[in-house]
Amino acid sequence: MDKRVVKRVTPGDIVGVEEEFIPGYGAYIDEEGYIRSQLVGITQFDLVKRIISIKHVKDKPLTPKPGAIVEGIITGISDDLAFVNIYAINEKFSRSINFTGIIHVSQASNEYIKSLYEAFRLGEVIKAKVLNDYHPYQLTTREPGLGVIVAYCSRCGYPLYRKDDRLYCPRCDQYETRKISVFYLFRE
Amino acid sequence: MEKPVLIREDGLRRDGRRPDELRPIHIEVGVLKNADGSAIVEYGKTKVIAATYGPREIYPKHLVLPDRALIRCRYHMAPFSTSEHKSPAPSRREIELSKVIREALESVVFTELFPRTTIDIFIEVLQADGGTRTAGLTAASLALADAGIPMRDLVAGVAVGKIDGVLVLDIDEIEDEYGEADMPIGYAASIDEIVLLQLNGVLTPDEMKEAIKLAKKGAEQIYKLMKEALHRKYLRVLES
Repeated sequence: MDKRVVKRVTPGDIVGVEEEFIPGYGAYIDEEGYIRSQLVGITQFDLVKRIISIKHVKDKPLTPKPGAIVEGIITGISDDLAFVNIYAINEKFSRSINFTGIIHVSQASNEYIKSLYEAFRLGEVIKAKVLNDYHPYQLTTREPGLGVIVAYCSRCGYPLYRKDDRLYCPRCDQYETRKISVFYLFRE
Repeated sequence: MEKPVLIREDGLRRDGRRPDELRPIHIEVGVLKNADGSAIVEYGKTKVIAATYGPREIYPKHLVLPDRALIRCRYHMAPFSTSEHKSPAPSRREIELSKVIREALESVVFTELFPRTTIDIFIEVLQADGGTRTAGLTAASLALADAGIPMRDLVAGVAVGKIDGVLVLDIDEIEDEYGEADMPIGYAASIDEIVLLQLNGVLTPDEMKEAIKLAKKGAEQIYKLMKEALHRKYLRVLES
């Protein structure tokens, strides 16, 4: 078994033995010491670290992981806590993703804000980073790339436009404060 | 109705199969667009479709398991699947089959990789002609593999029955109705584990051993077809 050929495997297929490799992503060791595949995919070898892993042929199951950038909609907000309905993880939304995240007022902005209403409003779309590994996911927007990417005027509901570092409503001719992401969609 | 001749004089069964012969099997994976994973399985006239969703958030929230994913399974027979209209409400039998199929799949899925989430499995019987739970189990395990959920092995379901004193593989509805025993088995062929076993009727200990041997033989054939179906759908283009 010196020649390492890429194999196409389905769950349960033997891809090696315990003595020659460490199982990586998508592989496990059974009771008899064989390394078997967990997935439908192709084998990948790391001959330096002696790791064998399986690469998915289809999208893998998506759950938020620490450090992932997620997009979501604010579904509930109070002075110190906001609930976010996450629909995309690392810009992937091909599968049915629907997880709840929460943002505490201390994690909303690098500057001092008195209330979360100064950072987001109900129904707005935000980009945020995941902090923990389990539900409910703790999120943060304390980075320049994170914050609202779509915001609406609190008076008339019209989408706000970005003017310099502020958000402007052309209908009401007034400015609003938000924690704005550099990826904010509507610009002048 | 009078009892039909189950084993003909030439030793073959009503539909011309040998005692250890399966019905023609058709398997296809990835048949539904909106499900994360799906599969349709046909054992002769039995048709079953399965869809899986997840891992996703659990509602209601009090069901969450802090250390692993919750598997929920619904086995359901469509009202048009039987010769007489069946009430679409879940019957006692369907609730029981949901439970045994769920427990069979729990033993092969790596649920601890997705704590606090749920994996939902929906099994819908479109046409029933015996062996719907085994076809449902086969379809559900393929749908999970199609969804990319880590599993120890695929599970193939097959039933062994005793009709007119003869052990036969993959019994259909008439053979189930007039036979002496029906034993559905879920078998993970690569790791050699039986994950589902029920028995309706009477078998002697010797017959039981023989029946399990026969079921394993049949399940291995189905297992091969399952792998072929997955290769056909996903792995053929990757051939290098």
